[in-house]
Amino acid sequence: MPEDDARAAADPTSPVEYARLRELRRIVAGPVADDLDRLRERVENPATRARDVGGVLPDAVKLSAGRGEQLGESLAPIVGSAIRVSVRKDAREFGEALFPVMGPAIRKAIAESIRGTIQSFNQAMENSLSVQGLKWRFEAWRTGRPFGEVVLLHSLVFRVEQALLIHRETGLLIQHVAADEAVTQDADLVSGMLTAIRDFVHDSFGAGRGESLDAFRVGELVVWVEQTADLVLALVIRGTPPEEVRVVQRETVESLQVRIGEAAVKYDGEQARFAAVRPDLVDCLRSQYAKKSGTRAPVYAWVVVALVMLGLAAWIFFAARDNARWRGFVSRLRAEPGLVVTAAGRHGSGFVVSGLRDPLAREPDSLLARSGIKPGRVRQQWQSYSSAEPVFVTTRARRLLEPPDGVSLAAEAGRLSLAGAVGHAWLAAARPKFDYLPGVDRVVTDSLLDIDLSRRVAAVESAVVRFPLGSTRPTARGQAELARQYGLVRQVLALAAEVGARVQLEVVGHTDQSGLEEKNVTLSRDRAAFVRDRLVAAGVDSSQVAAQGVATAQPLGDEATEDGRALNRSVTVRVNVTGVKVSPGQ
Amino acid sequence: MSVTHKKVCMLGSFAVGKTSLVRRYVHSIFSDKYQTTVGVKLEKKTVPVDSGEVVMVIWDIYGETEFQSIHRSYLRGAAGLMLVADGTRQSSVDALAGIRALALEESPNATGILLLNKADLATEWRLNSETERKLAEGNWPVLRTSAKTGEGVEEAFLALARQMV
Repeated sequence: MPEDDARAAADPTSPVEYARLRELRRIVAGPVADDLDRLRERVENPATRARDVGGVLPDAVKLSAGRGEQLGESLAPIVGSAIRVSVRKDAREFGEALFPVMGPAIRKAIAESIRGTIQSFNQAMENSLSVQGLKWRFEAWRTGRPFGEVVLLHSLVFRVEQALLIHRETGLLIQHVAADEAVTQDADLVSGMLTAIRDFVHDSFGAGRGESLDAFRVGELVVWVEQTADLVLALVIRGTPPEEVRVVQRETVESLQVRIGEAAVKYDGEQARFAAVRPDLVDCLRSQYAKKSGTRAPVYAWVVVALVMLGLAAWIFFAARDNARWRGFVSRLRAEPGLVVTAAGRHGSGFVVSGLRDPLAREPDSLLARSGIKPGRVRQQWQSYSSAEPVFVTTRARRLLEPPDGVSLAAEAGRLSLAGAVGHAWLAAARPKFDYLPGVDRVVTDSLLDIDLSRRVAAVESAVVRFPLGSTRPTARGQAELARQYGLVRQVLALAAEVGARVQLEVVGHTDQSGLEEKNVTLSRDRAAFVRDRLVAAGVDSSQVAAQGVATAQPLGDEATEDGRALNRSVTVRVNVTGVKVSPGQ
Repeated sequence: MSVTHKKVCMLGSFAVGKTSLVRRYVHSIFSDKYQTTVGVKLEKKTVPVDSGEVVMVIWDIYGETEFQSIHRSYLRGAAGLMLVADGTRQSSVDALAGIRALALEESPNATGILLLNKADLATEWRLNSETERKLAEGNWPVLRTSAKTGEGVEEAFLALARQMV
């Protein structure tokens, strides 16, 4: 059936046709057909395919890593997920795997933390030294600079002057920033030399892996170095930086490692490509001026002000107290009898007083001792003089005159009054001294009883010169009595003269009551005149003698008896003495 | 115009004239004392190249002696090596191979240049052809220089700079 055959040949799905085609391919393709079969099997068989991929994967990854970050980005979530799964599965195993890395890192972090704490403690200790502020003030005073300027110079706690980002492997500088006022050297050479020195120190002291020279100090400068796998960040710092700077430094270099680490691995020395990191480095250029001086200055100021005020108050108090004591002392000196203050005032830190002093006056030192002022602070200049104060006048008079006991002395306005009873001899001896009594112009003795004179006066006054009846001539007894009286009068006059007393004699004539009164009056006058005349004739100054007749007015005896009447026919003499007292009753 | 910084290590035996060689041509802020103390002194040389400038930060490393060896860490990360020998001292030339091997261990990607110094005393050189052949094996240029006359010095810096970029 050619028609059927033709139909079968046209249908490729027919077994006949398929067999034909296979035969045809075998003839045309030959051995290649077997290869295609094997390839198909490898492509379609998962086990074979996995084996093939595994064989080329390492090389594929290596090639892909060389092309850029695409592979890393693709793998990142898978690796992260794998780590999470691994941790969930067996955290301990994961921890052990990480320990060699984490252990040193944790130890280093703890060491840094402790070092920071110690440094903070050191700073705290340093800050508590309050003497520094005073030293700065002294320096400002010594150098003549404003205090604020000195504080600024000294209060620079730290200033990060330079930051160098260095390629760790080559020591080549990646970027460098410096503070405006910082003095810098060629940063390319510095970064290289810094790397060399760190290598040198590391090699020389046999430091372990991961350990390196991370800080050194030169004078006021300290260089801190922090490093990551590919980067080194060095900070040149003036002063004493706080640990926070280290933290900032570490965070900066770690952050840069993440951002530019991969690029840095293949650093070709073209710094311009890394200009973007400059802001990070600039951020490290921190500085701090100590506020302590600013805050402490007022404290000092207050303390100083308080001390000054206290000192001033104390000075005022003591000065006022001294002045009060001084015024009290001077016023007591002025009030003291026998002391005349002519000048008183301050002399340096002490006092000076000058004036006149009666030797009898109280010692000024005794007053000073009670004043509360130290004797050494007072200079005294006293000149001797005699005070007219009554107490001194009487004291001096008593010393000079040495009166008997019972004699009182009173002085007033240059007049010295004596009172009491004294023997005539003392008075007569004392009288010449009256002119030499200091401060005494006149001595009054009117109240001074001259005992001896007083007796003589009494004797004179007790004498009675009798007269016969009606006669103006004394009886014989009267004559004798008259003679005795005259002697007594002379004694009185003599004694009175010796003591400066004045004597006035008053001759009084008497009669009895017989006869006429008028005649008696005349008779009594005549009798008195007779006696007066006899006294004058005997030498008594007539001016000292007066005579009067009192007739019967002042009878001496009892008129009823003869003796009485005979006594009444008489003359008596009254003695008036001025200048001294002659009668105790006066 | 780009400016590229490159680390260059200058190496060679003791007293081959490394420091004298570059003293007049480089900028440094450090004294020669550094070499005997720290074992290295840094210098800087800016060289123009086609693409801009290459700033060569030169680590002038103290010559190796029997008493003091080179700090290997100084060699790390070098982009260029300037190996110097004294043409009048065969031993210094012989040492170059060892020094090169040492440097390449630390900086496998570094390129380099060999300088036979003291060219002004070339008449006294005692280098045999075998030695010169061995030097050329490394595919690094070999230049003759003289610190005394300045011969070849600038050229050496220029050549190394071009090799590095």
